[in-house]
Amino acid sequence: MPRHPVGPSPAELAGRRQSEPLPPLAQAGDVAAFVSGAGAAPVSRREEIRARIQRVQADAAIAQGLIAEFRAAEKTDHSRALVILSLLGELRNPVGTAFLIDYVWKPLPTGGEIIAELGVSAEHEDMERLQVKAANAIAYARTEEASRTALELAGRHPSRAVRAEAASSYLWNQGGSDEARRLLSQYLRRDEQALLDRPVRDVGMSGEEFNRLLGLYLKRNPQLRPPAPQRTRKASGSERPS
Amino acid sequence: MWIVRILCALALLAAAPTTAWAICDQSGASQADGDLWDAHGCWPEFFLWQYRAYDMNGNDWANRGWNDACNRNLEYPKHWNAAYLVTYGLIDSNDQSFHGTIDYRATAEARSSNFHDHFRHIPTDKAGIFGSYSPSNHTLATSCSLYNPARANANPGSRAGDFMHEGWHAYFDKYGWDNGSVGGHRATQGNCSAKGCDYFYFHGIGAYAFGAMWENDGTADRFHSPNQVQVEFLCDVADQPQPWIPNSVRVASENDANTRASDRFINGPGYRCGDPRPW
Repeated sequence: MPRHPVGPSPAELAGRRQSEPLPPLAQAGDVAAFVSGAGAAPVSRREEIRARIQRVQADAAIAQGLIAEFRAAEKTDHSRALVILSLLGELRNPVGTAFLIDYVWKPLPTGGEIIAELGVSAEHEDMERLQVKAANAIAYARTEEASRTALELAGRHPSRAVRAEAASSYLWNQGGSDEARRLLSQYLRRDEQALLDRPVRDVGMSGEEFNRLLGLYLKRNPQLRPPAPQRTRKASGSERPS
Repeated sequence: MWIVRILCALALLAAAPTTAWAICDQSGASQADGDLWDAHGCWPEFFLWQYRAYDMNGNDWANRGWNDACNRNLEYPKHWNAAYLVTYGLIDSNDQSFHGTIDYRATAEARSSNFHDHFRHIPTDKAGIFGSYSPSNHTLATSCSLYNPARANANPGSRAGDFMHEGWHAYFDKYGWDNGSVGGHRATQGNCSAKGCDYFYFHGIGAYAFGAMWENDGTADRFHSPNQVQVEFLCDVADQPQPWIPNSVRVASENDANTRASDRFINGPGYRCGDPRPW
């Protein structure tokens, strides 16, 4: 039986989290504590954090502070690095957007110890996941340069996941307009045109609306229908890695 | 004299515990692990239930926090941190969730059910994998890639997502489904860029009653693959979390879901889930 000390109950802790003040975000020196506080804050306070970020949108020093924090976390704490990219994207400051555009095109690591199921190294996977987040953040900036970058990412980034994220994020940020679809279709690879119809679940989207989008996706792209699953006599006894 | 010393050393070696020493980074926890940890504050009643529900024992988890269950830097505490997310983290919305907690718990926990036969959760120091399921000795192993904070999957959502993935290999084993010969997956093909690929058997919200994820009709209309169950769980964490779930856990789950939905499916990409805005 594992050993343990005793502390306050989770219900008590949740109550505290809901009401405790978020750290300030007024200058670059506040960034590290704010990143910690925003990541730890419950999802119920997401809009409060978004409003706090928007209040300092014009402050390039905050953007620089987030970039410095990202560089400190990138190789040591992946989940923190994701939180920082999320906040940097939400900030929509030109300094931050320029950093994201530079980062998303950095070459993915090659070599290293390969993860069998991926065929790439853990370092490759780590950076690809961060570039996926960066692609999402770039499309959200909605400046001319950022939108053009999102289109270019959708067409020619070496990672399929980054291309898919750029395409879906671009369309969502352009309101899914016919013009945006037409433009995106010109950038997408011929064998990735299905991305034009890929369902994007929005916050609070009803099940009915999601099912409608999914139905449309599969109707327009019948090649995505999988074959029937197959039976085997019994497992071979070998391991199934993930 | 030196011969005596060597013989003594060999005798001590033979008498040493058979448990492997951990090689994972035990110097810290990722922000997402720490944030979820702070949400429960190391709740003893939970982990005293969890180690039985997941069939874990001190031989397997020695040197990995078995005797230090409130040290969030170690593997066993990180394991039960992820189990806490599975057990309490979802709102189970009939109108919006892909599946319910009852499905995800039955997939991840050890006990025999419609979802799989009994298995044991063990750690592994094997490099080059996230986790594995062994049908020969009925064990679900999780590797350092799910515990080292620098790694993309070292967060409670991704770790619990791996419980789903490996648990679904156990489901395939129970019912005799063939998901391919590349470690229980199919070789690179179609829209999959990974080395181990699955099909996405798309279904809408409400297609499965809560508790019925294990059901299939033998066709592509009602079936799940390991990566699909993993994506659906991660999407439910990203989109339908309890209001007290930390943002860092939500953000990491969404990122894992959307990358996996794009990279791992022959007939992908799967849908995009999570907030389309960066934060």
